[in-house]
Amino acid sequence: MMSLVRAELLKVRSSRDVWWIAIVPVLVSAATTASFVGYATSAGGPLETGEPGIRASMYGAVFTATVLAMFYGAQIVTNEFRHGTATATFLTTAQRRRVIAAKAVAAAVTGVVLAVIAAAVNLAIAVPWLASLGFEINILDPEVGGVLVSAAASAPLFGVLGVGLAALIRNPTVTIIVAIAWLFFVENVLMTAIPASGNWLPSGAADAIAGNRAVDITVAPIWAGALVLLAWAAVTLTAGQAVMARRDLA
Amino acid sequence: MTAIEVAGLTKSFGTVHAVRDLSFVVRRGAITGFLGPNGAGKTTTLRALLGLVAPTSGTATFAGRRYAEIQHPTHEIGVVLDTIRFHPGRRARDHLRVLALAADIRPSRVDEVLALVELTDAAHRRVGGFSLGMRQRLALAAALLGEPNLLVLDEPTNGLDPHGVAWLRGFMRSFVDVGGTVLVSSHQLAEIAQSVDDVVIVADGRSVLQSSITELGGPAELERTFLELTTAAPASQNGALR
Ligand SMILES: Nc1ncnc2c1ncn2[C@@H]1O[C@H](COP(=O)(O)OP(=O)(O)OP(=O)(O)O)[C@@H](O)[C@H]1O
Ligand SMILES: [Mg+2]
Repeated sequence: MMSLVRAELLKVRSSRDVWWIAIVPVLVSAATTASFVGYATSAGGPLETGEPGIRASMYGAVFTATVLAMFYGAQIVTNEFRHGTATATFLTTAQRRRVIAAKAVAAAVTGVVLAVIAAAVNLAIAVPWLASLGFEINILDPEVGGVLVSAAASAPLFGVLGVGLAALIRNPTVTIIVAIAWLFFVENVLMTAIPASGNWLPSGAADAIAGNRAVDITVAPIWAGALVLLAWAAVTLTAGQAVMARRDLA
Repeated sequence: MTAIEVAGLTKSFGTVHAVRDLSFVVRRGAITGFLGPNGAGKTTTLRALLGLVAPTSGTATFAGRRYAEIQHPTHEIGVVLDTIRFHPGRRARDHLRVLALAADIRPSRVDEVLALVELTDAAHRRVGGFSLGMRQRLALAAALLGEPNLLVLDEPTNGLDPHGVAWLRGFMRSFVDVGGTVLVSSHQLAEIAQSVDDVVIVADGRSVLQSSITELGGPAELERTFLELTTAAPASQNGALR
């Protein structure tokens, strides 16, 4: 299993895609950090009204790391079908479930890397910005460090979620559309209709792990959020493995 | 004695019956040519043999074992299929390194197979810029990575220059001379007639002949036999001249 995981990580590193793993998160993090800090410091925003605004300023890292980890995890699977490398992969390892499991581990590792990049960019932008407004940021403060650590905990599971989803769907474009629709539309609609449902959805679980009380719903405790996210990742991955094991390949 | 056995193999894709009740065996230590018109079901048979598609019924096995049951398949069986493609942004050498890692093959083997197929100079180039023949050589290199004693090759001469074709013919011969086994599909009848010991001819998903070249009356008889047998069973629904 270890060699399979190393093979998967080498696939990620040896294609040009590796530049996307380095550059895109920096740009996306910069954009999300700006919008989250902008919101926290806005007139009538959390910092002014005394809500945990520092925490809200850090939340961009969680958002970026989880969303990108899911996309990149999905790509680890869909690339094989887009470029037709799946045949060679499954001839080398005929136990398709093991291949998908190795991809899940590679996606989790990628998720941690993304979280570290996102956290670094978030600090680099938020610290001087908030300092200029008179807010001192201490990275050891749970409001700061805790949120960043939660990004590193959630992103790997979103990576696994992406692998499972892509194994179910396979087609690169459809997979990305479904992921975007789910993250930015379906979950929002559900949470608007039934606020408590957020506790049972992946993004809501990531909020819970981050202790994100900037959102307007009752957020579950950290451990509950972690369990919910773990369950989503496990169920999606298992379903993806089962479907992939049965499918005819070119 | 028997390296590969296909028994009553049937594979349908919806209403397309690609392979119908096909049976044949491949002798160990020999080169078997797998021949048939376009759409006859050759590639589908090989995909079923290699566990890429599930047979509708029947079996296709290596000395009694399904491909998925073999512990380290690439150490026993080398495969070239035209559906094996490459990531265009990956360097040739990295493509092989990935496969070697996944199959627990020693890293130094990568440069050995690159030298064997004469791709050493292109090893650090991205595959996206490779010609058809270079890709085919890379596919061959990948098949040989695990030092297998059995090769399954689907139209391996596709895109190879005359030099490459001659090299492959010599390679297959020396491969079986030391005890290896080859199953090779091809359309190049003249080429195949010179290279193989046995032939299996399929048409319309069915086996129409299994014979040794000697029994056929020598290489010169292969083309006549092929045309005679495969026009009797035209690949009508599949379109014989695609
Ligand atoms: N995934 C698929 N879905 C539907 N039909 C398929 C599929 N794969 C193969 N077929 C059909 O099965 C038949 C046999 O195809 P196959 O590729 O096995 O032929 P072949 O003998 O390899 O032909 P060629 O000499 O052209 O390579 C054809 O009619 C083909 O269209
Ligand atoms: Mg074919």
